[in-house]
Amino acid sequence: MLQNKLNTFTQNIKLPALTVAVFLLLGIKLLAPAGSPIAVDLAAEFVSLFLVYAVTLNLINTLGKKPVIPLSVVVNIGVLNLAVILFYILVDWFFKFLGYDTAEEVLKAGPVFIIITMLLTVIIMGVVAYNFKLFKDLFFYKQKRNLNTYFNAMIWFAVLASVSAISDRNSELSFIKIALTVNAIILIFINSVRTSWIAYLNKREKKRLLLYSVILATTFAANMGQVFSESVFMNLQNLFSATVKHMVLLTNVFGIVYFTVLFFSTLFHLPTAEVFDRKADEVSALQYFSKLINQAFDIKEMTDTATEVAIKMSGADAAWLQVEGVGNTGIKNIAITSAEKLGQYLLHKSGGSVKSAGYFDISSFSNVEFPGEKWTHAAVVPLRSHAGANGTLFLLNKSEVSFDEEERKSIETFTDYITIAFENARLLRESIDKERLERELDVAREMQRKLIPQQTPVTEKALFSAAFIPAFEVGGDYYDFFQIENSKIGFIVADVAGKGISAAFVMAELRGIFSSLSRQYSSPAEILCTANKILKRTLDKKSFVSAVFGIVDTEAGKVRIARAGHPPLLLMRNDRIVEIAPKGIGLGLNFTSVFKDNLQETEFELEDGDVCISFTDGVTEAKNIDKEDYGLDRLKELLLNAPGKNPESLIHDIIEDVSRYSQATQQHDDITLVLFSWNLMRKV
Amino acid sequence: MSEFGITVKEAGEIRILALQGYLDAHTAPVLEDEFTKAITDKRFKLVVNFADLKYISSAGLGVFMAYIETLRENNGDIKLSAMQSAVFNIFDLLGFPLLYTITETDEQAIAAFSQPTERTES
Repeated sequence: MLQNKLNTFTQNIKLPALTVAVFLLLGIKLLAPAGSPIAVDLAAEFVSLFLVYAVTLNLINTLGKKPVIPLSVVVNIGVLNLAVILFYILVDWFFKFLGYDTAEEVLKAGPVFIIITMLLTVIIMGVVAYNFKLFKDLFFYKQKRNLNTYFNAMIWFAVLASVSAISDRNSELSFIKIALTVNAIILIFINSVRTSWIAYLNKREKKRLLLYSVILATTFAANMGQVFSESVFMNLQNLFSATVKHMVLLTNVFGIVYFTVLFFSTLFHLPTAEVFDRKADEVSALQYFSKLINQAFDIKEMTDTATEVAIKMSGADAAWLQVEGVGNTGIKNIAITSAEKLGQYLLHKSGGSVKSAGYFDISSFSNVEFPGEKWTHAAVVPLRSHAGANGTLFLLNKSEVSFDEEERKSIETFTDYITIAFENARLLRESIDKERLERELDVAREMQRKLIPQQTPVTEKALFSAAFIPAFEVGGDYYDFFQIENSKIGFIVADVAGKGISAAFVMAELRGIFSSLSRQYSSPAEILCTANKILKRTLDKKSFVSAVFGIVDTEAGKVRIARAGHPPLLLMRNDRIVEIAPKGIGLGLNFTSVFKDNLQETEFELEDGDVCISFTDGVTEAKNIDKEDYGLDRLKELLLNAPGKNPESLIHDIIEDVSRYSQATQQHDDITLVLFSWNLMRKV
Repeated sequence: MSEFGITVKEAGEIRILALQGYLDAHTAPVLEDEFTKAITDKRFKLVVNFADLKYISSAGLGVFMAYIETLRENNGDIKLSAMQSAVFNIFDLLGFPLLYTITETDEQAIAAFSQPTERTES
């Protein structure tokens, strides 16, 4: 808690505060050079300490945002401390050049030199702070558990030891410093075994680290040597700020110990480095797997990733995938034509089809076909999902030995991952297509629902009734009523070929066409002919419409109808049923005079009690469990035997019967019925 | 209803396609592919045999509509033969007999290719 409070406090220390501290220190040193009372010295030391701490935290905050790369940190430490050696040498030479042989001489030489020393000390403080920051980075690299305790303890002891360096003056009290320093050094040893970050390096990096740790341990040793030497600069340090000098000492101890330990750790890591790397690759294969799965929408990307990782996992030199329906993709490190040739050759060697993983020596084939390439071994692994084989992975290498046990296992495991990813992509595609189709159907259903009339006409003598049962996959039936002049009612029952949205569009068109034509023409045949002409422009080649169009004159009691390729109109009169079926071919099948020449119109008079029934083939083609049609005869029989002869009850009976008949099968087509009765005296 | 198959035979320059099973919206593409192939192979005179066809939907009928023009433009035709009565009724109701030659046997259909066409077709 205290730590955090201090941290927040010092985090907010901006440059002005630091500058003040520096000047404060300078002031103290100018006014009270070495040999002053302890209180003054102690004050100076605390300011120094504060400076180092503040600079360190500032560094950590400003530089801490970037991700830590351990090897770079090591290199940074090396460069920093090698520079320090150079720095020391230069400073010493500088003073010698000016003719000063001892530190005392320098300090007595005047305020300017005190300022210079101050500056040099600040630089050293900066170095200590930066070293500290870098050590901290290494130490806490990817650490999950909170290891602050030992590290903090070490810091505290180092700080206390440094501060207590003042007690050097009083030889009786110097044991304090020694005790604290020893503790600090013990903690340094304890902390230096935290070299777990080595595990994150690959074999090559570990070898480099060996070299670096030797260099760094030596550098810190050299700096240590400097500390104990009698160089002018060192003595200056001592006189100026014993704390800082002690910190430098401890930093060097840490450096020597840590990098020596690091050297031996790395050395012991080396024999297992290669296997370790491979195991790490296997684990990262799982990450690649999730990457593959996420590339489900882009097969090209997926195959590229797949072959890239396959190469990594198997130590292969070239790879490609042969995918059903796509061909050779994800080709790496080999020409397309060579891949094709080798693919065929290997397929042949696998006996025509790849059923399981195969490993082949292809050196002789390669020497003949690809003289420059020197391929030696190949691995051929099938991508097999539940739906059957849908691809093959090919891997090649140029080494003397074939793929070893470990590599084979990796390859085969990873191929399973690839297969799963492909399956996933396929299923995803299918489900998207299906969903799109569902959505289309929803729209079509909605359109159809809106086009079908909500009410049926009721007049004094003519009573209409209608029923409409759409199939799940919108079938294209359509019916409508039109008021023509005062006493005429037009009706149409139509069946648009096709399903779904395209059928729904044609329905919408028909509605427009017939509603406007019924206002212009009084002849159903003429209306159908004109409609056919209009549809020529818009109907698809594959589409056509069957329709019955009738006009009921409710005053005169007459019906005119024309029929274009549609089931006949039934007239039930006096317990008999007559089929009214004037000639006519479907709309949209022919746009020449053939249509007109073969279209007949019929007119008949209505008698009291007549019932006219119009329907679509969804009724007569409803199927039972044996796939037999309901049929026209059954419909006629039902009509004749029905108890009530009014349109509504008849419709009810028909629907009930058809439903019962076809209950075992799914309805494949829309069912439409339009009935009207003619009664001179109707009970209202 | 998704079992559908086509057997192809050649009789001189006439190709005979024998349909089996159910021709509906799902299986229509198979017939479409076969027609496309015939055009690519420059076989414009086709006889379609319906002896083993159990059912045809409007989608199936539409396939014939889609290709007939191209074939007739190239001096060819699609002649239909050997329909079972249920299937024939579907064609008949719509008026196909007025637009296509429908015969009972393949031989009659083949012979019809040598006869001059009587009606004007578009």
